[in-house]
Amino acid sequence: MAIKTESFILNIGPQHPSTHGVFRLRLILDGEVITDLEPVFGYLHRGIEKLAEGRTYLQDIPFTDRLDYLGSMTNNHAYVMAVEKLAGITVPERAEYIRVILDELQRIASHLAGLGFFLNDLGALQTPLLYMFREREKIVELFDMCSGQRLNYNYYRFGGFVQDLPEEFLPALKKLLDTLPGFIDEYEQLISTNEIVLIRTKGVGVLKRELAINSSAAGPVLRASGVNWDIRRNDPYSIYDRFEFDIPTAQNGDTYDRYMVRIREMRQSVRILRQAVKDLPEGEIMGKAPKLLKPPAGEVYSRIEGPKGELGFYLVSDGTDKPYRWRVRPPCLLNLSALKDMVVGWKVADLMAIFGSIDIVMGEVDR
Amino acid sequence: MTAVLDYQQLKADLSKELPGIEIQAESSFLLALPEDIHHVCQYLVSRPLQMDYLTNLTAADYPEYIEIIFHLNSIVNNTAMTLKTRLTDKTNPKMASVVDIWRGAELQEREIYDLFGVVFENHIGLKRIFLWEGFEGYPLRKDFANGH
Amino acid sequence: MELDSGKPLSLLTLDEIDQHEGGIIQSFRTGHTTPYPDPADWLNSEEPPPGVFVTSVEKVLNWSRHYSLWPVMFGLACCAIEMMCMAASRWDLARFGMDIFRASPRQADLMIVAGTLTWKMAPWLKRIYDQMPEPKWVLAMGACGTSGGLFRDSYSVVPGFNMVVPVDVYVPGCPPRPEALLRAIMDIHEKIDKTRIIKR
Repeated sequence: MAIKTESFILNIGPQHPSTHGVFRLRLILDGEVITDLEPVFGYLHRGIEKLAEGRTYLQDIPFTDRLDYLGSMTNNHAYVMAVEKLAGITVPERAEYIRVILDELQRIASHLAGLGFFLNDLGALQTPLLYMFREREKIVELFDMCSGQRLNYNYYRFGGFVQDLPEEFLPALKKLLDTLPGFIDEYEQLISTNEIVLIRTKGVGVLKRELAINSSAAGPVLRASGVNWDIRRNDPYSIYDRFEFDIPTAQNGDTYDRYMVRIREMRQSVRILRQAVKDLPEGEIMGKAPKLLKPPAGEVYSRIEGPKGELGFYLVSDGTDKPYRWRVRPPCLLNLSALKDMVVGWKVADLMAIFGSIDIVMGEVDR
Repeated sequence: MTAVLDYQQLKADLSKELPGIEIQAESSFLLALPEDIHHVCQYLVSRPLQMDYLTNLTAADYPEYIEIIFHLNSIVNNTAMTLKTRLTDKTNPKMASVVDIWRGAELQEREIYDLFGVVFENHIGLKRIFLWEGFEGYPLRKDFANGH
Repeated sequence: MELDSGKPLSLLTLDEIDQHEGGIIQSFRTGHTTPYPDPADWLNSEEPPPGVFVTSVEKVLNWSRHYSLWPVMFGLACCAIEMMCMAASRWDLARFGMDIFRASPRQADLMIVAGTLTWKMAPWLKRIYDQMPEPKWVLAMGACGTSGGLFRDSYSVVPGFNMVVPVDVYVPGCPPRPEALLRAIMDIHEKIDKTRIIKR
């Protein structure tokens, strides 16, 4: 006797503990197995691109903080670099080194938060999250020292920085660099050999290499599928060509690989930080930039390697002090293009693991 | 370093491979007509150029036309280029979708439909992505005023 | 097992669900154009006059309520990270009895709305607020909660949470530091201490 079943729609609504913000998923399930998936975006769509056209270039820097709010320094850097290319402003040496230091610290802080939320979704309720937040607090304290803010820093300016680093910054940073590798090793040892994590993540949610390139994935998601593509190495910006570091990649493209790539990237960031702190020169902190910036008419697309992937800005200027078109290339939205292929065929509990390993921030998906 | 392709050379190659297609090569981008975009993209994806990575797909609203901008990359050869097209009919703008060539265009084309009103033919599911059904107007056009 | 593919999956198809919800959001937006008045008369009230039986019951009830407020998690944007930092080990929220953030509104009595509210999300904020049992309190966190903040003149942002729900305490800042949020929670404790169970 054949048993007949029915599939049904399950709504994982905008208010949910595991959706990393306001994200909605409509699943079509056959029992516990997912057969189809439809994401619904837009619950945090604030219209930043339209608002930015009504403000001057300098007044748009705080908007860039609030895109990927776990990685504000790198967002600022991408925007400031785009405008400097458009207007032809050069940045002095000391400011470039400080930009590299702040970017890499921000990468470590963002990966810590992302991994903490991923482990939270797997079911290790709050404990690894609170440990990772403890380390993140130390980095955020450093940022608080230089910019005065704990989350949306608004520290970069066209041509450099408006204020130099305070004197307490470098000794505190050196002390942190001595203890941080020990913590990364401790997390890796505690979690990567844990049986439950291995069963739940190995082989789950595989993203194949060709599909990853075709669906415009970037960052750790792309590198975990076997593509050796990192903007810091393939299209270097700022002074990244002076530092020695490896690009971690993995072969299988499953959830475990995405997690391991992030842990290894944190170690490489510590390596870059050590080199940058050793070579930091003295000098001025701000290049020549006019008070009211009116770049010549033209357009530019410039990109950096942020913690979530390739963050790019496309700006069109018409000669006035307000931009004509202000576009953000959102890495988190494009990493989600292939979500359906990664998830179909797995169960609902695996969906949370796969979704957590892509590591999205809704502020950037919806802008 | 990512090498930007030589647009004059590209225009010569395209005129030879795809006769009958009008291409203009500017200093920093390649301009094609909206009807020919799908053919041009299919040529760009194939060997030897292999532009397999669609970095950015966006639009901008100018007084006479709506411009659609493609930023393409080749991961294999480490090259980059920009492709543009202009839709002159602003009351009913439409063009062919490139979803069958690059999967990453799906969500970006829905965003252009939502915020500019450009209809992409042969898209797998073209509907509003960030705003809700029933919202009147297309916000990123210049004649839409912000504010309460 | 075979799938019974003749029957529809739900009463509406997915596209019809989108249209239906779009209609809800449009009517919500046109229906909510004036803000709710703030329930702020507790600011000027004095200590309740001494009664015989009811005062000590009130005191014990208010004390127990304010030391075990359970928040419902409603983190929308950047302020949610500061709310999590407040609940983490440095500014420990568990010492106030608020360590568990409930996922279900039926088990919570405080709603900390942290982040920017858009018109698309607003009907669901009202629905979660309606699902909380009385007595309940709302804390609007950040500049986006007070007036719409940095995004005030955008086409899709609600200019302040008091357009949708009545708010008890506003916390300024973008984002507010965890110490500011703790001060706001202590203000809610003060408000709870001044409530009376029998209206005189």
